[in-house]
Amino acid sequence: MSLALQLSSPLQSLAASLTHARGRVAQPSARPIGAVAESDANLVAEHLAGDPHAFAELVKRYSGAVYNVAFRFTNNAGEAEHVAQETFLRAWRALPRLDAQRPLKPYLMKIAVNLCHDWAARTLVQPVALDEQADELCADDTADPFQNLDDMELRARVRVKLDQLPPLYRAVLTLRYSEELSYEEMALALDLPLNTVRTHLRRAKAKLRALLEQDE
Amino acid sequence: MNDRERSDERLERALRAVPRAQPATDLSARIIAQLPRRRAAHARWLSALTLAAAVCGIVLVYQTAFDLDARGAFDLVAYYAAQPAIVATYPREAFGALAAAIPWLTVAASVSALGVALILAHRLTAKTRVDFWQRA
Repeated sequence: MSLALQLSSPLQSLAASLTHARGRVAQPSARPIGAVAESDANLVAEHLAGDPHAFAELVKRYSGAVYNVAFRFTNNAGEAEHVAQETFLRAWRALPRLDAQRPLKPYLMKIAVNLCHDWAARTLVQPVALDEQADELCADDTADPFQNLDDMELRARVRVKLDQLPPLYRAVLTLRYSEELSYEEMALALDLPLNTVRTHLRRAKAKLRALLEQDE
Repeated sequence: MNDRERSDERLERALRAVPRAQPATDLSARIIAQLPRRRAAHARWLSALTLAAAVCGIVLVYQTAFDLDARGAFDLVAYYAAQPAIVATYPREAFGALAAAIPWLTVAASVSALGVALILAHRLTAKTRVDFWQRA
């Protein structure tokens, strides 16, 4: 085999791999339309590697959820926007220290809930009423108090009565039923033990039930 | 399932059906817009520092070369190259004379400035290099 032929194969493969590598060294990717959603862990890794679009993708993905929880807590659109902006700003700063394998949504919710608590402290709003005795309000453990309401009516009343709950109970119900966090994720978001989360959830539903039953 | 459990289920379904509070349509864009400025400011600061260190390094290298020439170090080296027997016969004196002709302070300052510039440039390009290798 001639020298040229002996050299050509490694050179050709080197040239091919260089061309391939050059082709893959692209500009930071804009998200292609219709692409499968990347996992949060991948987006965090790309953000930390310097991709300017990765964090923007996380903002688009979770700004609605963060705003939803903040609005339910504060009942104020302007304050909810401020909480959302500050949440992502703090997440931006903290991401290098975050364990990228843990779910991001509960972490963002935790920041948002903490900011909501700060708001409550500033505005002297009690996150939860201190004299809560909601468990005692529903004495009848077996009856269906809503049997005279159809689903549409019940939903409409729940939407109204939700606003009358204390802020923390609104947030707890939103995290569980609107944002579909598990109990463990709620514990992370609220920075509370699991049993306390269950207690808050139980009391929130009991309080809501009591408010609904007042109309019956 | 008793009536209470049924009502619990209905209550939970009603809670799930509560529509999300919708933010303004441009909220995401406003959040994103406030972020890059902070990152770009950091990158600009690092770039300026890298450039300043590099310029200092180049100026000091030039000064070093000028000093070496003024003190005759280049002439000495040329002489030793032409007359290697002198170095072989009187090595201590030869290297002593060369050492005396080198402006050590300026050399140290040049090396330090260039070293700082290299370190800063390494940091500035770290993310780009990580991205390159990850994609490769």
